[in-house]
Amino acid sequence: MLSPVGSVINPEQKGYLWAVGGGKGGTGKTFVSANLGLHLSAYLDVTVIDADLGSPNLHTFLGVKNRNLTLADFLYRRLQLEQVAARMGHSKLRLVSGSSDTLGLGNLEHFRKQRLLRQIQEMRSAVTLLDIGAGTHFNCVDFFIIADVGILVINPEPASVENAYQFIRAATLRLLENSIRKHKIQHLLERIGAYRQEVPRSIHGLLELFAKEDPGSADLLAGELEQFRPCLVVNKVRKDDDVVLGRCVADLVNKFLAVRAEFLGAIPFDEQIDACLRCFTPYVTSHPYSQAACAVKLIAERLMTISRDGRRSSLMVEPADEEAGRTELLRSS
Amino acid sequence: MKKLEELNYYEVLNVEPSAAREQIEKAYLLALATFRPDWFATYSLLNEEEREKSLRRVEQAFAVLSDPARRKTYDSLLGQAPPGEAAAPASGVAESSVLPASDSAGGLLKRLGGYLRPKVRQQAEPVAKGQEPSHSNLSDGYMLSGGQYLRTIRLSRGLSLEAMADSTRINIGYLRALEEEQYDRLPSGSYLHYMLAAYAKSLKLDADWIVKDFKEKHS
Repeated sequence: MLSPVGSVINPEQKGYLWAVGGGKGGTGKTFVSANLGLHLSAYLDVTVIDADLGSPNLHTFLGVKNRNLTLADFLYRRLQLEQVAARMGHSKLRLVSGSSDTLGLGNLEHFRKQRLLRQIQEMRSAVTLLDIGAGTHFNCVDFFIIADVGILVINPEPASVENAYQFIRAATLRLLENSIRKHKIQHLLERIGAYRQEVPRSIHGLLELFAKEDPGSADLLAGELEQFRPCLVVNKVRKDDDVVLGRCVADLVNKFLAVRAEFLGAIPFDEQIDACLRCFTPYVTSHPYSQAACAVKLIAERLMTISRDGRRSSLMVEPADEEAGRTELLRSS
Repeated sequence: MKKLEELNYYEVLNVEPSAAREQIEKAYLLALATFRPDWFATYSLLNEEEREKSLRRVEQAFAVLSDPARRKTYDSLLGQAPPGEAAAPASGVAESSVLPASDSAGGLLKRLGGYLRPKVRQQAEPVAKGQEPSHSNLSDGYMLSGGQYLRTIRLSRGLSLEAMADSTRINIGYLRALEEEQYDRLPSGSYLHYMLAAYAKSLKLDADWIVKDFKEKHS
């Protein structure tokens, strides 16, 4: 019998970091993060982190009522993120839950946020999932752009799609800003500042401005932007038309927002999801073979394939290490 | 990432230059659906003029790529000219497309749905025209025992068909047929169920559920 791929990875091997965001609230980001994590934890070491600092809910979707250590302990009591990650029962799933009763978490100081971002990227799990809050401000976008794969959850209705476009624009601008600082081409920063205040039209327009100012730097930035590949999940699908939405939106993003988007899959609406939430029962555990659960599992497997095929350059491992890492992963636990 | 005007016709329709006619038609339908009027997914991204312009570009792309002679000319043009020049239409006039652009959104999507949903052999009676797509139509894509689903799982675990054949001791041709849902190439009855179960077990999936699901869908 073949052993499943992936168990505990060796400490030197970096795992995959995925972020689940979307701009609009209530699209199902937390549902997707929780259930992706639960499914993968059947055969992989997974950590899910509630990065919705102002209103954390991940623990609720995982059926956790009592939490000992939370993100507040990491941020204010100087514990390490690994220490705050609590294992859930006997599974391979660990949860870093947010704190509901610490005021001011939604407005985090810069140095605390940087520490959090750094330790998230250093997590020693095969897969680390970040559940990001609603909105397009820096506390959302900054967690999204550090991921190997960013997942946007949209619903088949206008507000959610509109907010997703806004989110992608905000993330792209932030990425460009960070790249400019990294490569020390600050004169282009003024261009971004001016762009933010104008009525936003197109990232293409901004890149053209850069190209006029400094063609070499513009090429460098365009190259960095190629690394950003938001993946789309359409949640709460009820009609065939809704399934098509994902592919269409991905195409629109590719053509008009200057980034490479991919469609991961569609999750059908299921009223049992709400029922499970009210009973504090994780959905994929109680309904493992429902259509929605199968859809989530398919999305998880596709994400694994995408991650294997193309790591972000910041987390690139040498080919030799990749092979060694894979051998490690294939060994049974 | 190039702007729409800079894309060649294959890129406009998101197809490979080697795409077959059926793939181009499917891509065209999808593009028509993307740029159709009064749709909530485009209202915040494109104004009416941009949407119309995009639709015209899609029509141009299909007009050329669906005609073998014009496609051949265009391919040789792409081979010689730099991308910017090739993006301009091969002929000045955009012909009317084979599929009428005035097709209703509903009709368009029904046809598109046929392309997008994986083909399941021995499927239930087709949905009658004008009927609401039933819940079971949506489930086609999520069929638990469906070959595509199993294949996706296998690929994401990084396992080759050879490795599967080795561990399950099942002929690799049969495994391939299973994944492609070519059930007429497979033995029927209990040996098929055995194969499914063996495949599922080697991926650590619940074999009982998968065989049960298969029996339900193919009874």
